[in-house]
Amino acid sequence: MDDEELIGLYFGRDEKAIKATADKYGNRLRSIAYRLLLDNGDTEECLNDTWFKVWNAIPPNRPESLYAFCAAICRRTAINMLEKRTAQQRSAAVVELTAEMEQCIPAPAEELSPDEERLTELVNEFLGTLDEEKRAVFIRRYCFYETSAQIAEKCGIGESKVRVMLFRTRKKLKKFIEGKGVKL
Amino acid sequence: MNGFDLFKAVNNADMKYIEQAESYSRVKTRRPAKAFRLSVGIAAAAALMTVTAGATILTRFANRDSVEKYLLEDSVNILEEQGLALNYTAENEHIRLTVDAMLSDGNLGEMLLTFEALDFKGYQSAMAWQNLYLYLADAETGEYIPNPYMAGEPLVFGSVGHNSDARTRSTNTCIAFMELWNIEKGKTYKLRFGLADQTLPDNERYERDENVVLKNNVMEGIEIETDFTPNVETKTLTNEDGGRVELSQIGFFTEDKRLTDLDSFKNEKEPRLLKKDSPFRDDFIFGFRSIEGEDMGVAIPKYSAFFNNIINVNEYDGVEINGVKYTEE
Repeated sequence: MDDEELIGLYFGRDEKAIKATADKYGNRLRSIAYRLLLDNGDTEECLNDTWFKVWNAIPPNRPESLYAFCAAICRRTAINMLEKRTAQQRSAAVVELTAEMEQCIPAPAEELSPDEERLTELVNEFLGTLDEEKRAVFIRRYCFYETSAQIAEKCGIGESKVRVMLFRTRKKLKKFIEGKGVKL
Repeated sequence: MNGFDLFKAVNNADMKYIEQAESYSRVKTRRPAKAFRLSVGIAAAAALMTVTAGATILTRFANRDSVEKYLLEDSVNILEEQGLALNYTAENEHIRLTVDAMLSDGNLGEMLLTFEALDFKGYQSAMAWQNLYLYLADAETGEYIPNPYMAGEPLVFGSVGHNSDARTRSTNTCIAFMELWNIEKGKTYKLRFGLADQTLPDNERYERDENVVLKNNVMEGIEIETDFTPNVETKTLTNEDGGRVELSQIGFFTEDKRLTDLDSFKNEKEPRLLKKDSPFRDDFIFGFRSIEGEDMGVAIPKYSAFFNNIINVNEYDGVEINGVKYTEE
């Protein structure tokens, strides 16, 4: 069943839509959630919440890519669950990704008071400055949580190129935040 | 701010970037689809028909069981009582289309459509129910009317929903929602259907380009001519600041900016649940869409909501939306 038909089921309020979505994308979303949560029970809870939220969001939304839409909801749900944990309880993957993100924060970080909405705006503005390849690589790393090897395979480029690209993009993001001269 | 805050912000990135990243690998690893740009005219209107809004042909739905998969029994009864069970049919060699109902309040439209297979090609397409597009065109000039909510998607008009329980051995019924506030009132339009031949390879089957869809269209020649004259009951409600809500049996439409986000809707006698609170079919609001801003080509914001079922507007001498009361003029 393709996305178009699946979305049609949601618009028809056909509850088979949820099962069909789970059959098609469940494994990939489970892998996203598990990578962040590292717990089978929490992963299942996250997936159940995701199906419920997707059901409530379509309609009125009509996503171009159903997978990307479900993945966005799954990630946000998992991250909300992570927030309730202490830093020590977070998975190794999250610790690694968070440490990489630390490199993008201009010093002194303690003076920056984060406003979530403003920060998201800045990130979107920054992503808009990247070419499609760099943006895809960056998003695959920090939103799909893929390793350099996985990104290299999917994008058809070398692993070392991915690592260099990510390093440079992080540096660029740090500069971008600095250059904005904003008190976050 | 720490790394986790930034990590969260990146994970809230704009959906368009996420979708691009998701499809980026596909672009890299798959062979590009062959581009088809053939210009094919629609055959002479073999099955052209005219739908006269409000006409009473039959008072019972021919496909009542399937229609009831989309509307509660009470709503189906209301439509039959009002003579809105149309049962108009048009066909070509592959498909017989039945317009079970075609509802319009002048701002919003809703259709229940049944596709019956007449041959194997028709069977595959009607049963698979994939890639059905509705094209609205000016009847005189043939120019397509763009979808008000989907810039750059001039061919896709309205939203089509499907419930697999509304399928029989040879028929398949679906529901389509349309925003009509941007069309010229009283003008005649042609509604054309595009349903791709399911035996085609993916790159043609999933193609949205009008020429490709219509070239491979199993519904070629099936058209509806209509002016969308309102055929459901409507009522204009206003608030003390002059804000207006056009309420009808199928939904409401407003340009009142306070309704940008729909939080609550009720009439004073009977508070109704909104869809976002619970996913079940008998909840009140099915979908809410808004469009605003000059960049979207809309100087005045437009907000529309479809009800999940057919209401009796006479029960509504006033509604309260997002805490603002609107009453009859």
